Amino acid sequence: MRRLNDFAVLMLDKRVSWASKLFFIIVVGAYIVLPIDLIPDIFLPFGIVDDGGVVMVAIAMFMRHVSGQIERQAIVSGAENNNIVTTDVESSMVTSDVVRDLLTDYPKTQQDIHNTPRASRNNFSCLALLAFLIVSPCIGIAILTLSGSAALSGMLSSVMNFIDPPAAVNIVSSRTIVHSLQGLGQLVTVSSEVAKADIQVSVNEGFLNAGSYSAKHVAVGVIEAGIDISTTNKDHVSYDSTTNTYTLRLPPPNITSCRIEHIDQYGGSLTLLPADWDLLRQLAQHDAIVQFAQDMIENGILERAKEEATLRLGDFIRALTGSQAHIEYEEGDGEAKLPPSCQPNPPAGWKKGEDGAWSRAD
Amino acid sequence: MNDGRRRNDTVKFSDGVVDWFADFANKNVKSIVTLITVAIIINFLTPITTSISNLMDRLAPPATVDVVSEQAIISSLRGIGKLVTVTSDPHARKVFVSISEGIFDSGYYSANHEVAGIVEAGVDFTKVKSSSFRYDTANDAYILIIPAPELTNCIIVKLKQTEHSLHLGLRDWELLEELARHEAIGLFMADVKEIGILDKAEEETELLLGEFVRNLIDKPVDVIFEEQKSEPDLPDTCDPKLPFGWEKDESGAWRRAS
Repeated sequence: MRRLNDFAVLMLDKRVSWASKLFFIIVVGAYIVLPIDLIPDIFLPFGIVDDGGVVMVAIAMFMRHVSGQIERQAIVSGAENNNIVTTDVESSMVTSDVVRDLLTDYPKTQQDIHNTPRASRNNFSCLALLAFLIVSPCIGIAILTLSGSAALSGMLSSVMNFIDPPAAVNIVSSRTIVHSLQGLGQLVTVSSEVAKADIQVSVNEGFLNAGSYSAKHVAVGVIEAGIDISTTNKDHVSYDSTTNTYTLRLPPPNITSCRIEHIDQYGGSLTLLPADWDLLRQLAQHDAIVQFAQDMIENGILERAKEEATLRLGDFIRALTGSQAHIEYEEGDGEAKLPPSCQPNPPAGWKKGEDGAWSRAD
Repeated sequence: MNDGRRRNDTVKFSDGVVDWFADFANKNVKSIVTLITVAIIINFLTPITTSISNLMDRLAPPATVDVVSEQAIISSLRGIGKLVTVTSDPHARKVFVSISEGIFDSGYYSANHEVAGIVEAGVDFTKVKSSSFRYDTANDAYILIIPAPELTNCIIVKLKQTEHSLHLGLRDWELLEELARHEAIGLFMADVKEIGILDKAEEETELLLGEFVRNLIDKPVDVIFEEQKSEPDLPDTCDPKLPFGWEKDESGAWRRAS
């Protein structure tokens, strides 16, 4: 207890350097915390008892070390007082033998101090402590290896999990206000998966285009098409009793939805100024959706939708009535109507002109 | 005599006016020079500013964008039969995603996302077969039994990443976006189910098919739905693939795939 009291006094003493105090706290603290040491902590209770013993030894070594610091400071002050070294015994209130000897033997000449063998032990105690703390985990690992690799890997895993825990994801979202649900009557009869590679998007801006940057993208999307049957009424249905055939006239097929499954960016240009890479992805996505819809219309998705709708509704009518079914389609006005998902909003702050050129919105 | 006096008066008046102007000019030289200078500048200001503006437009023109892409490649084209009877208005959420990794979380990074999406629901029309129809002779009415409504499509119409955290080194921002997308789809589905999208789909389907059949055969029809599955099938769009290298545990928390 007396030693612990002395230790506490020395830790609070201003004459002891902060470096010494921090060294002690960090090194000894690490030894206590790390599960792998001289006797690994999994081997209870010895794994904890050895930590306590090491702490006591470390305290003793620390006190030896700091006695040297106080001594050196006394030498310095002695040099200023014509080689007569004095200290204030009462203010330190230290009771350990080492430090008491130091203080009660004063006044001393500077030569006496230098001859004192105590000074040579100060650095040794510090190094000895450090060496012990480095070597003991190695001995601990050897013990664990001998006792089985499973224990070792478990111990190493727990150490690594403490230092470098597994990646964790945190997601927080705001509340949504769903405004309304709308009724539809779309018979979606065809789905196509499309892909576009090498969508190159470049933004040219800045003084002499110094802020220009570009990147390439690969986009994969899905386009669906079908028929809107919500507008059919009795006028669109006729029955021919001679041929036992129902004739159903439907509106022309249309694209019903467009979506991008994923879009990858690559080949970004070198740029010294900050670049809005997300803007490039949004522009690429906008272009991809619009182009996908147009490309699929050119590639006959609407004709395929018509064929599938004929098949589905023909089967439906036959199943319902037992009669033959003939499906006809009204002529469209030439322009395919696109749903909102195929007409994405431009990225914030940008607009597309009638010529298809992008510019910053006013 | 009068003419002479009048001439003298005129000369005196004109001399007086001249003297007044001369005196005024002498007293206000600086003001006059300033006014003349300003007038000249104003006169030439418009062409000067126009020239400067033209010069700046040449040196630093307004930002433009070039997009170059090739024809799309069709990887698949298949027939389906979805009767979509209800859609939600595009609704938006903000989704904040952060990843903590590395020694003492030194690799922490995060971003906010603005996500907007649409959810559609309807019935699988391909399951409507001849066995789905029954005729009720007592009431001279048809009974149409069709599968229970389910979600048919989940579409993300907008996904914008904002407010990146400060960081050193490279970060996988696309991963954050994928996580936000995955999370948003789940949240959108929960939102629309909460306001009864499946009930609404049932109502609309009953209305639509009932009307369609009545128009065909001019007979009343009862539309009956099969029992809702305890865990209805989800379309691929509402059940997106997990980001590569990641999985969700039983509690719904994300972790790296083992």
